[in-house]
Amino acid sequence: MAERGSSRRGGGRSRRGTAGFRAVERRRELQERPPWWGRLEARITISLVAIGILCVGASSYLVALSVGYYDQVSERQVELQDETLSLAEPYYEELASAQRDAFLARTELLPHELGAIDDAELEAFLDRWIRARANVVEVVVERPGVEAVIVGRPDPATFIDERARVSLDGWIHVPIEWPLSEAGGLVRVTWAVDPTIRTRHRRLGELARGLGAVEVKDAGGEQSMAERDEVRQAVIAALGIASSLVLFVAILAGILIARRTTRKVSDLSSVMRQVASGELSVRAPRLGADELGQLAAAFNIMLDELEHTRRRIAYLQRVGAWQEMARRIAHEIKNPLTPIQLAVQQLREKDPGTDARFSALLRDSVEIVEDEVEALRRMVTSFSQFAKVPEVELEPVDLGRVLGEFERAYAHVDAALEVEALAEPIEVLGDRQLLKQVLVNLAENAALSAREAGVEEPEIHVSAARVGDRPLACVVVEDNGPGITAERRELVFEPYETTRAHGTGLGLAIVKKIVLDHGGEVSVGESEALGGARFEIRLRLA
Amino acid sequence: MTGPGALGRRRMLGLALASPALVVLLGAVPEALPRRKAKFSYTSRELKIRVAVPDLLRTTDKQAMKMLDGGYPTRLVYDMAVYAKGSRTPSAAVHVEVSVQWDPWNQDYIVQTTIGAGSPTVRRYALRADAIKASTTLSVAVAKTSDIPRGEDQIHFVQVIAQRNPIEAKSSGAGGAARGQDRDLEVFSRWVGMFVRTRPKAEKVIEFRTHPFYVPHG
Repeated sequence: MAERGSSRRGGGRSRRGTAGFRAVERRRELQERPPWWGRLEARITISLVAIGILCVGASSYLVALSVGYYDQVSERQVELQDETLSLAEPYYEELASAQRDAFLARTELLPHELGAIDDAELEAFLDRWIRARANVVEVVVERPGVEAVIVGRPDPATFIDERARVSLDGWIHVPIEWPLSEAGGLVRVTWAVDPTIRTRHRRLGELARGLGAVEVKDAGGEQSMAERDEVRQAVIAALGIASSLVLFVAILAGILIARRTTRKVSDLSSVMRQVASGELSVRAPRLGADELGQLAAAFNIMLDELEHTRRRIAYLQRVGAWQEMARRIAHEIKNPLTPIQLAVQQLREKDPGTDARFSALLRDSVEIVEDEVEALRRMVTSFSQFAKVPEVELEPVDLGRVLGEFERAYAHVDAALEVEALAEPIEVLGDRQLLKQVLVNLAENAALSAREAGVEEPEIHVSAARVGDRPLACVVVEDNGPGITAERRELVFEPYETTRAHGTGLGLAIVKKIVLDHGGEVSVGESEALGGARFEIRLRLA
Repeated sequence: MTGPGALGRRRMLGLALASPALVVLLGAVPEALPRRKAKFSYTSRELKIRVAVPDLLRTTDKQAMKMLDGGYPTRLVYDMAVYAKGSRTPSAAVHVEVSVQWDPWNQDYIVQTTIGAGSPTVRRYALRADAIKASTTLSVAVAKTSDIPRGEDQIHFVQVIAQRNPIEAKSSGAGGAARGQDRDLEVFSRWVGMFVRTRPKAEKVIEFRTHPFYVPHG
């Protein structure tokens, strides 16, 4: 059983040792920065870049699909237009052929009409014949053995079609020949065709040539024609480069935003790692008013409270150690004091008085011993009081009552004590007797300090009030003594720290211990009203 | 020790290495164009050239023949410039436009030639081959004789740029007035235009220079 128990104890030590080792390892791990790919900044940047690439890629793909779709539609339109032009193209030839046939048919009739016309009336007949037809320019009649008769339109430059506003000279001339008779000869009639047909057909040709080509503008705004395939590739290239530019800007913006956001997290993480490694004095920087800023502020408050608690615990531990030492010293010193005092009293009583010089020496020595014993006894009493500060029993206490009892019970203090009446009832969580002791200690400390500093009329002012909206009450004890220098303000609460000739350095330590046991705070500063020290005690409201 | 042989080899090596770059650099220089034969004659007033560019409009070009036989006019534009050897500035230049078109009423081909700002001359051909030959064979005055320095040491050549159905570039004047999406579209179209690599100037372009010639002293 003993072995098992020993084994258990050993195992327990081993577990504690392992746990301690793990804690050290964990702290070491916390102090190391994660690799770049594990950092938040890198992850957010990579995520933003990936999202950017995905968005731009998807948009580019959709655009490419749109371009392809409209290209297909355009191609179909081009095919339809090509087909339309192919169908329209023969009409020009067919129209010309039909008109030529019509001219031929009308020219064929002329020889029949000329059969009954004799030579003298030929020119006049032809003139009438031409005037009767708007699109005849000239008629030539060649008879065998006779000089040819040529009759032209008398006014070929006039407009024959007011709507077209084109003179006959500008028309297409179509000369048609036909035999005059079986005996020989011929007639040649020059017909005119409206040139608008040719103009339209020329335009049709231009459209046919431009089919499938697209007008593009260069950087100077000059238009030129380019093949559809070439334009499609140019559109895709232009979109690709534009998308790349957008992606580049997005990546740049992403990196900047990620860096700006993650810098706060990084700063906070750095502070947290330092805290985790035991450095409680660091504080997170101000990170703005967003959630991270609030987190940093809350973290700083937590650190403040942690630091405060740590100091409080350290102080109480220190005071506890001093109390234990004081108790032992008091015990060790107190025991021999009574025998010493009895012994010297016996020596004084047993003096035969035969030798005056001896008697005087004895008397002086006994007095010295008794004085020192008394001094030691007082010291022991102080030590005992310090060692036996009772446990605080918290309950709602009327602060006004505490101040009143303090004023009545300790009016004997060698100073002008003034207790300010409360403006409103204040109830705190505390131990009435111990709170009174706190006030007594502070008042006595103030009075003695003032006296030792040579102040003829020491003044002590005690007041209490609520602290704003916080659930705290503040009790203030001010005096007109020498005050406490800024360098010593933290030290005055340490046990056995005193500048007074007859002080034990325990009064203020007892004050602080009692206040801390109340969950409160005590601090010392300079009194503006009286010019001496100003002690502030903050207690929790009930 | 550097001998003349070594210098020559270095020069040849340098020329061999630089030749591709020279070809690129001299691409726009008239003297770097391929050479073709042409006939030159002169009078006291003018220098005439007779040159044939049969590959500008061939009967084997089905698309071109389809357009021609469909009654659509075919424009042949010739720009000829006389250069003194070694010069990049032309001594004289002439612009000739020839239009070939089938006339379905008269069942023949019309060849209309306009030299410079002069009046057009019209010729008719019953056969397509004759019309094509007439339109691709030029015999024009390319310069005034007085503008051409004479002498055996004054070498000249003629640069010929022949285009079939050249595409006229249009200048857009509506770019500045566009607003909103139209303006963005205008900018985008120019942006796209920057990526169009080939902009055809015509259905077909033939550039060459003639063999060198000189005009003897009178």
